[in-house]
Amino acid sequence: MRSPQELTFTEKVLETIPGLVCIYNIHTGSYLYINDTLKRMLGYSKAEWYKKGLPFITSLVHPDDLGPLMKKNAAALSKANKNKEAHKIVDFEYRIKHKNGSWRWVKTDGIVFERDQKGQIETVMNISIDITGRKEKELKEHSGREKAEQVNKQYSKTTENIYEQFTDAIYILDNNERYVYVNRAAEKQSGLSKAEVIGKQWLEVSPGAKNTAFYRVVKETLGKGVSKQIEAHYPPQDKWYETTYYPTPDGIIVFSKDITKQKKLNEIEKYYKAIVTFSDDAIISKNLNSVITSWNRAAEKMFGYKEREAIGKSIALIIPKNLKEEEEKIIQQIKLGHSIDHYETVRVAKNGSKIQVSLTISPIKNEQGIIIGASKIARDITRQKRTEENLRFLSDANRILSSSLDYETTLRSVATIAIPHIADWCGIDMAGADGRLVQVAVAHRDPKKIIWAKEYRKNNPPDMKGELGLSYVIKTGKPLLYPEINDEMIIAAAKNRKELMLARKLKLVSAMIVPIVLHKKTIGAISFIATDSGRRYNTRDLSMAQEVSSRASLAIENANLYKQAQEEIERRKQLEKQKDEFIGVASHELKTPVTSIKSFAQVLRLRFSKEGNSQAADLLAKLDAQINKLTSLIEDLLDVTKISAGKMQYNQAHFDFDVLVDELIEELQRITERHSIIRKGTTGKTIYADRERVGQVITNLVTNATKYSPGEEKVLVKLSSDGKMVQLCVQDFGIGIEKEKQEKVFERFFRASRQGENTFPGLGLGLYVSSEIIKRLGGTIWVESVPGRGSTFCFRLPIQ
Amino acid sequence: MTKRILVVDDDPAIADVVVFMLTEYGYDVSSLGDAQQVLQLKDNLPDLMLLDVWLSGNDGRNVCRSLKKRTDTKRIPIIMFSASREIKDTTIEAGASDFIEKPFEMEELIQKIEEHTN
Repeated sequence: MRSPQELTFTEKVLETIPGLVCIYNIHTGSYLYINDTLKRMLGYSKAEWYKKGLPFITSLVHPDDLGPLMKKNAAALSKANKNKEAHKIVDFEYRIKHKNGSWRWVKTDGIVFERDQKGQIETVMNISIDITGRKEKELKEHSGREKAEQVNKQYSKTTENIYEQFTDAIYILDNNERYVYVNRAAEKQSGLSKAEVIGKQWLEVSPGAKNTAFYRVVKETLGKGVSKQIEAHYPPQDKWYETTYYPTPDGIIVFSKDITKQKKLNEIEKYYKAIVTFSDDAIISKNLNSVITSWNRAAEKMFGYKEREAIGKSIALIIPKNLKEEEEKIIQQIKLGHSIDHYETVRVAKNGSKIQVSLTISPIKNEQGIIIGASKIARDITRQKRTEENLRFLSDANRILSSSLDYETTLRSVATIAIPHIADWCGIDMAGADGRLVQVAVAHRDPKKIIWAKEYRKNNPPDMKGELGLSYVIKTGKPLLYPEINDEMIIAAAKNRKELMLARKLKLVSAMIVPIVLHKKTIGAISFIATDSGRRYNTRDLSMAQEVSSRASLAIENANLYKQAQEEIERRKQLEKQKDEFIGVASHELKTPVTSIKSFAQVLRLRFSKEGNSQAADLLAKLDAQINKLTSLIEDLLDVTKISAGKMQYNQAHFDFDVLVDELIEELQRITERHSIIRKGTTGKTIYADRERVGQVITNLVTNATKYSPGEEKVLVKLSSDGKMVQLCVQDFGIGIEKEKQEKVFERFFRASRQGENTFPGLGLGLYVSSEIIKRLGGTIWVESVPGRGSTFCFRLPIQ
Repeated sequence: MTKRILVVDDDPAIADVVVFMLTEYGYDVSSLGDAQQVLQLKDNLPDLMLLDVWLSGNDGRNVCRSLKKRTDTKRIPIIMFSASREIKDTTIEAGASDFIEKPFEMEELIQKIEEHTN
C-alpha cells in the first residue's frame, strides 16, 4: 500500500495524462485515485465515485456490454496474474452511462498498478478515453452494412436469375452508396467477389473511383429520379465503360458495359476512317450485289455524287454504258478472292464527263473470313493520261509539220490525228487574201458528222464581223477556251432556229480555238471541239493547242521561205543565162563586122598585089594592122566582161611551156618592127594550164614592153624554173613605172602615162586581165621597175 | 579540079566576104544562110563546108551533128567558125574537122581548107 505522500506525487503526474485515469483495488473495489477528467467525460464528480466505488461504476456499464466485459476482464486478469511481468492486462470498449443519462462509448486500458508479495495483482490502473464519436460511426457503419446485406439477400432471392444472366455488369447501391447487389458479370468486371463488396460503401471498396466521372454521376443521380448514361474512361483499370444509372427510391441501379475494346477499335477505326476520308483517291466499297456501301470524300469529288446519293445505289451508276460487263467480271474475280491491281479503265461522273481511272479492287471479308464485298480504290489518271495524250499529239503534229513543205497536206494530217484522243472534231481555217476564211482541214470522229460540220460551215460562214468563236480569234489573235458549253451559250450564239437546231445536233461540249500567227499577223486558226467524248478542255490543253499552232505557223513560214528561195534561185539562174547570152551575143555581134572588114581588107590586098598595085596593097596592110588592134581591144573588153560576170573559162591541159614561149616570140616578132624580142633561158617544164590564156598573158606583157619602150630596140624574155614553178619575166628598157603606181598597175582601167604627154594607147585592161588569168591559174604576177630605166614584169605558175 | 566550098552563115557580112575571098583564091564557092537549107541538101554536095556556130535560130553544131549522121554527107569535112574560141572543143565533139576563130587571117583559112581537102 502506497503512502499518501507517494500518491500525491503520482496524482500530479496522473493529472496530466489525457483521459480518465482510475486506480482501484481489485479485491476491495475501492478507488484509490480518479483524475479530473471524470467530470468532463462522464459528468460525475470524483467524490461521488470515491464514495460509490467500483460496483457503482460497474452498474453504469451498458447491460449488453457488461457480460462480455466482465468475462474478458476476468480472463485477462488471471492471465496477467500468471505472467508476473505483464503490464497491460486488457482493453475493452463498452458503453457507460453519463450522469445526464446518455450513453458514452469508452475505451479502457487496464494496466497493472501494484502487485502483492506473491506477485498477484492488487491494484489496477484504468485509462479510459471517450470514443463515442468513433463508435457511433462504426455502429452506423455496421448497421448500414447489415441493412445492405439484408437487401442483398432479398435481391439475391428475387433477381438472381434475371440479373445473373446479364452480360453487362450490374451494381445496385442503396442510398448510402453501399453495395446491395452485384451480379456475376460485375464481379468479373471489377475483379471483386460479392462477399468482398456487399454491405460496403463504393468508395470503401474502390477509393480510386473518387474523382472519376462514374462516381460523380452516382452522386448526381442518387435521389434525383433521372436516369443518365455516360461513356468514360476508368483510370484505375485503364478501361472504358458505358454506364447507365437508374435511380430508385432505395438507391441506384448501375448497368456497366466494358467498351474498352470497342473504344480501341473505334480509335483505330477513326484512324482508318480518317485515312479513307482524307485520301485523295476515291475509296468505294460495295457488296457482292454491286451495291455501294461506302463512299469517301474523294469519291464525291471525283464523281460528283454526294455520299448520300451514292450509298445504296448500284455501282453501275459510275460505269459507262459500253463497259457494263466490266462489273460482272470484277465481281467474279472478287468472289474468287482475287484482287485487281492498277486496272486502267473509264468511269463516268454525274455531269456525264468521262474520267480515266486506275482501279485497285480487293475483296472484303467478314470476321468468319467470308467474302462479303469489295473495296475499290480509284485513282484519277485523266490528268496523267491527258498530259500523255497532249504530249504525244504535240510530238506527232510536230513530226508531221516538219516532214513536208506542203503545209496544206500536213495540216490535214494534223487535224486527222487529233481525233479521237484530243478532240472529236478538229478544223483548221486559213484566212484568204480577201479576208475570208477557208477551211483547209476538217476531221471528225464520226465521218457522217463531217457532212453536218461542212453544212454548218456553209450555212454559217464565220462572220468576220462577229464577236464570237472563230472570228474573234482571227481578229484579235487571241486564243479562246470554252471549258463547258451549255445550251444557253448555244442559244446566244445561234442566229436563227435552223442554226440552233444544227448546233444542238452537233452536241458541243467543250472547245478551244487557237490562232495561227505569222509575223504578228493572224493567218488562220485551229479549232478543237469535244462532243461525244464528254471531254472538258482546260488551260493545260489550251497551252498544248497553242504549241501546235505555233508549229503550224513555223511550217507555213518555212514553206513560204522555201518558195521565196526557189524564186530567188530561178531569178539568179535567169540572170546568169542573160549574162551568158549577152557575152555570147556581144562577142558575136562585135566580131562579125570586124571579121567582115578584115576579110575584105585582105582580099583587096591580095587583089592589089596581084594587079601589081603595091601602094594600095600596103595601105590595106596598114588597114589590116588596125583591124587587129581593134580586135585586140574588143577581146580585152570581152574578157573583162567575162571576168566581171565570173564567166571566164579555163581549158587546162599539159603543154610544154618553152615551146609556147618560142611560138609566141616568133609570132610577135613578125609584127614587131623596131624591137628584137630575145629569149633568155629555158624552163624545160611541162605545165598544166590553159595554153591560150597563158599565151595571152605573155603576148600582153611583150606587147606592153614594146609599147612602153618606144625609143628602145630590145625586149628580153627571161625564163626560169625551180622545182615547183615556172617563171617568165619580160624586161623592157623604157619609161618605167613610179613606185606609187607599181601596185596599181594591175588594176582595172589603170593606164600608165609619162608626165606631160598623151597617154599611151590602150584601154588599160591588158594587165588587169593578165593578172586575173595568172591568179586564177594559181600563180603570181608582179612588177619591178625603175622609172626611166625600164620595167620587168614577171609571173610564176605552178607546174602541177 | 576546082574544089567546091559551101559557106554557111546567116550574116551576109561574113558570107559575102568569104565567098569573095575564096573565089579570088580559085575555089568554087556557094553559100547558104539557113540551117534548113543545109539539111535539105541532096545533090551537088561540096568538098568542104564552112559552118558558123551561130545560125539564127539554130546551133551550127547540131547541124554538123546531123550532117555527120547522114551517109551522104558524113564524109564532107566541116570547118566551124565562131567569135568565141572557148567553144572549139564542142565543135570538134560535134564532128567538125577543124575550127577557126573570127576574125581570122585569110591565109590561115586557106591553109585549113587545103589541109582538109587533101
